[in-house]
Amino acid sequence: MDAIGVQESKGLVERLEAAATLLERTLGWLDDRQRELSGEVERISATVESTRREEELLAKLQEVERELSELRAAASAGNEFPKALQPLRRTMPSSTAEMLAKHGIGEGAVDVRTLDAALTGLSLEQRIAVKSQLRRAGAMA
Amino acid sequence: MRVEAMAVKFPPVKGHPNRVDFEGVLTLVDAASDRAPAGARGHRVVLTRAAAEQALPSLLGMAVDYRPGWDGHDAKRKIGLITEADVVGRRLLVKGYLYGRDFPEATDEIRASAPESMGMSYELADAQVADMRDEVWKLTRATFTGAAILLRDKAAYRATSFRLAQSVA
Repeated sequence: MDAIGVQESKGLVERLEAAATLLERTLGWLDDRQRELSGEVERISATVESTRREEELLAKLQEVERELSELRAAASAGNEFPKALQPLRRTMPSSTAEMLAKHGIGEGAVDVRTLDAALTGLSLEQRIAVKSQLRRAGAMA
Repeated sequence: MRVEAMAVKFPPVKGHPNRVDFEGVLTLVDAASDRAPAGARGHRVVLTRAAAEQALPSLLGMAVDYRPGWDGHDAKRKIGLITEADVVGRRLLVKGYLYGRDFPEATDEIRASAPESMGMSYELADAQVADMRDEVWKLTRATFTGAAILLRDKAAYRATSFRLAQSVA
């Protein structure tokens, strides 16, 4: 066999080896697939398998429950304005706060009748907007 | 409706210090689990009545285990034995005893827990699923390899229960 023939044979052997490897992999994959579809399950425990997402949600729930209990404790202690709500108060635009202050409405819970009286000069849309802001800020139920 | 009952008879030993009788609902039959059990790849499962009845003999003599925190299985912490199993209606009831002297802390914790808080969970091997593509897997054959005592809200079936008897066997 000449040099070219040897080279060709080596190339053929390499291709055959590669094909054999691919076939082996495919057979393994088919075995796995067959096992999956056969319905055999090696082990099942009737306990809940908590996912990472569930753990995250649980942690969030615990945090919310903690904040809620703080708010309840503050409310029962007679604190008009629980500490946890203070950041919300700051979300109210200063223009709204100034306008309300002119009518004697400041810190603390807003009396609805006082508020309605203070807003009489405003249009319906503006009154709704102010009330929405107060609700978002937690100053109005 | 009483369907099937099996028991292993142990000689009674009055006042045995290491036997604390228990009874519990291990699982429900012909009812989908409330949540996906471990190993079921996210599928809820139904243990068919036929499969449960066929598997009852495999349950006898199997251990009950626990995990500190009562949140799952630990097959290396076997604290008792199942001696009776019975399918009553949709409930698979089990009875047996815990090794109360060997595991006093665990036994005391169970006694101190709220009556409705503890449940049970089975351990199955070689389960046959009717169709793996079903949203809820239907188990048509299985072998019980053990059970765990755990908090009811950690069990895949919320309707399970576990309680200790007041007296020592």
